[in-house]
Amino acid sequence: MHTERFHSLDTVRAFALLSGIILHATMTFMPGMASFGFPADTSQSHSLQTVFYVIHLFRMTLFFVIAGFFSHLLFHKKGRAAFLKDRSKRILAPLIIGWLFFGPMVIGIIFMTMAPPVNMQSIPAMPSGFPLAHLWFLYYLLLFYFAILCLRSIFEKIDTAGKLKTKIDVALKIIVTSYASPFIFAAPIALCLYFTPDWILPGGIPSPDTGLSPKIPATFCFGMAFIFGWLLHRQHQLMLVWQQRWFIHLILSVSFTLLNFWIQQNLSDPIRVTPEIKLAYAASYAFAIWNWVFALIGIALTFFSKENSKIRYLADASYWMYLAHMPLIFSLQLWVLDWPTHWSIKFPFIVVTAFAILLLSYHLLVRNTYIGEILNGRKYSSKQTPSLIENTNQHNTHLVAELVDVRKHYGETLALNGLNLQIFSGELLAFLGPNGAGKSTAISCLLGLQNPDEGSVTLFGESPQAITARYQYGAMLQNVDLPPELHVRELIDLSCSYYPSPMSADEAMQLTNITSIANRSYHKLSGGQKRLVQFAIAICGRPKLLFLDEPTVGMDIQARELLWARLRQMVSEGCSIVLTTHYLEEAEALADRVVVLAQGKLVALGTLDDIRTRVTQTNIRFISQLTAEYISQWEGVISAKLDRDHLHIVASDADQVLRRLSNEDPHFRNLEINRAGLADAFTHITREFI
Amino acid sequence: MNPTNLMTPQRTLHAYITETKYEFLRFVRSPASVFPTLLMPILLYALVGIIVVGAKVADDPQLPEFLFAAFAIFAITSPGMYGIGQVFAIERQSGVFTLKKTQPMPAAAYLIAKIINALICVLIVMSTLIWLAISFGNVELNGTQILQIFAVSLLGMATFSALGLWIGSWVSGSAATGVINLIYFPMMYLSGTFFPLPEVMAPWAVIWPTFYLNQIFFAILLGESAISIEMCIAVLMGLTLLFSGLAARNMTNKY
Repeated sequence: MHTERFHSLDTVRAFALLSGIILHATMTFMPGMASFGFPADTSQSHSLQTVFYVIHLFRMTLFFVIAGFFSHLLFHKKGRAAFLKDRSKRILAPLIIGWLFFGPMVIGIIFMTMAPPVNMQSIPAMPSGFPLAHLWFLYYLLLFYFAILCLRSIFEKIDTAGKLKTKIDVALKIIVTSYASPFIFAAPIALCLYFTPDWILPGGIPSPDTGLSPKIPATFCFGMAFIFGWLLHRQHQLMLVWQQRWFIHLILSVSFTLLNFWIQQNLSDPIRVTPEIKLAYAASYAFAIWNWVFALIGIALTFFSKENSKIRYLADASYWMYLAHMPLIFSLQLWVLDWPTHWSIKFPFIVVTAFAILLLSYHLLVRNTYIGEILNGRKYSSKQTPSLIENTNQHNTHLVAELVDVRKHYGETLALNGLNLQIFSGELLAFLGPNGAGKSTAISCLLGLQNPDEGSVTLFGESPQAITARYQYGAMLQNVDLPPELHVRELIDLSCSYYPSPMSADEAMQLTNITSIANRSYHKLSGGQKRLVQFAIAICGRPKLLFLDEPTVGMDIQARELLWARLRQMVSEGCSIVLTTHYLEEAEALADRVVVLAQGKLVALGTLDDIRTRVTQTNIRFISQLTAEYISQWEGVISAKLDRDHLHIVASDADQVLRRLSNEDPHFRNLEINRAGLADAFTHITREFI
Repeated sequence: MNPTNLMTPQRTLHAYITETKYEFLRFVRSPASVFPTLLMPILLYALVGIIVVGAKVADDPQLPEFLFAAFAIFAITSPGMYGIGQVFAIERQSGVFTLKKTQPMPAAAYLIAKIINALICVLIVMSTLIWLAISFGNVELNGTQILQIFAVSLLGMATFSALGLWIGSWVSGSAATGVINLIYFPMMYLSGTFFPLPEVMAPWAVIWPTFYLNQIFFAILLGESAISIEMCIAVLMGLTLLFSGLAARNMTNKY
């Protein structure tokens, strides 16, 4: 129902986690970190200091809002017991195992490589306590779960009628929808920071990465974010307001972040400042935080609300990547520390290498394994989901492509006007119609090259743009000139490489009888040879559906015969073929069914016989002494004319005409009788529309 | 379709490699691509930078560095503009791009093949230019500077590939060469890359992307630049994003 919105929140959570990796990667490049005993890179950067400052400002608050939101979702979907079980598996276990595993690695790397700080006096008193390192957020999540469940029990006791709950919801709605929302949310955070003793201004909300006793600023600020997220899920339609206002929030967040950055850069001492400056800075900082939160969620809702398999994958991977990144980032930083290279090379190197290794390790070690099941809450099979594929098979044994009520405009012109069409397996369907009838537009829509203005197009039960649909069809388009420098074999080999189980290039060339020109450059080929190469490219992926747009234009008779034979063979093997052609004899020779389009509408659809019988006329030719004018007045005659020495009669009732003829001129000779062909029928059908 | 009929990672990788291989073959067999991207920068540098101007070094001690920077920028920018932009425009017009959209080509293969090709091109030409500059061009370069030059070459290649792609996404195939020349040569001259600009025009150099690339080269070679190197990198990265975005928009909307 509302799942599409939550894809965007998955994206936000992934963004918050992954930006943390970038944040940690900046740390050796930041001027001033050396005084904390932190290893310093030979190339220091104020730009990366800004990057750190901005990411640090919003990322954990953003994370805890989303965490609260999804916790409420999970709690109400699964119930208390399952919620606790799920959380202990996905949060508590990673905290303990992650700490046991990654903690010693980080500490080990520090001990092995770090020189003792030069000037011990210059280091501010380091906080002591249990080193939670970057896993502190899991510890605080657990604290918040505990707190919110306690709060919930209390509320259930005192608020049995649910009145208080309703009041809270109403209040939240008023706050969130008002333009004052970032001020209202910022106020408590600002006060909390202001009253934090020894608050280091540039550090923002201090990260509680050491010690198990909850730190007041982190607990208060992130706890508030968590509870806000929890309450937000109760009326998640409120988020839509950020979809409209994200740009305002973004402008405000950027402006106030820059203002804060400027203030703290100009401080002589980041801890001992006048109370006025401290309050102003705290207020402006907290204001920036909440504007970032609203802006980023709004952006995600606007641009990332559709499910996207790549983003989904990254979102799944982000938790593992964040858990595992610390030792890796740290090793990379120490490795490049003394390289005589600019930070603008070293820093991207660290980030790209770390992301590559983390993604690879996720793909190989985590996603399909027990670890992935714990972290993502589900295990992805290393094989593609077969159920989906069986379904597709089941439903589309016969139907391979479908156009439903498709309309397409080009400016004022209506190219397709409510076209309905189904294409079945093992049939050859010919599209006929005068120029401008909408044939090419229909094919373009079927191929996914154009989207219809209205109506829907499906190929193999999917969108025609889906790559799994494209594996199953081949196309031979008009007006395609392949790269002239490449040889025939190379062109076909290239197309083969796109398909899961294609023919070999040699096989495709044999089937199309072009083996003899395999090593010739494309630009040296004749028109007909070029068409055969394009045909080979269309069939090299062993398609189940083949689109041919005027395939035999420019071909000599031999090539055309070969192509026709190949098409008949493919149809007999179950392939469906859609053919547009101007040559009616081609349709007559090949088609099982014919579609006639005129002015964007389907005007006739049926087997060849169906179409022919739409026109009950017969062509009769003979030599006689009677005149054309005389015969044209007979009953059952549509027209009569003299064609050199033969009379050419078009009759609606041939039997009657022939009986009268044998009576009136028993000496007539050279009789030829032809039932109306497709060409006559085509002319007849489309004449009404032009 | 059954599960065996989906692309395995090996086949996907094979598709990328095949696309890149044939893109490269297409490139080396096409004089219209090889000439402006591979041969021109090297030949012109050898001619102008070493033979003609070499004698005048005594008058202006910074001349060798200036000329090296100019031809390096020529080498870095032309694969993107001609190798990618021009070829993309032609492939759009000839229907190749449309055909590929009907084929299950891996999403990024088309672009990655072209970018790797441009990359190979830049690496070949830059290596040659650096060798010429050190051996015959009176330019002194240490290891760090060479590394920095390669790094900047990659950044510049990315920016101008994106610019080329964007131009290639709207210009018609037959007009591509003309339009690209019309943008490319004024950009090279008016950014002060080839000749120092007269004072009136100098402030306007900043509107050309090549100006920023040139400044980074000055910073690496001479240790001086008109604006900060970080600013230059930021501008080039920003332009890369901008042009990539514009190109992506055109590529999805138009065809």
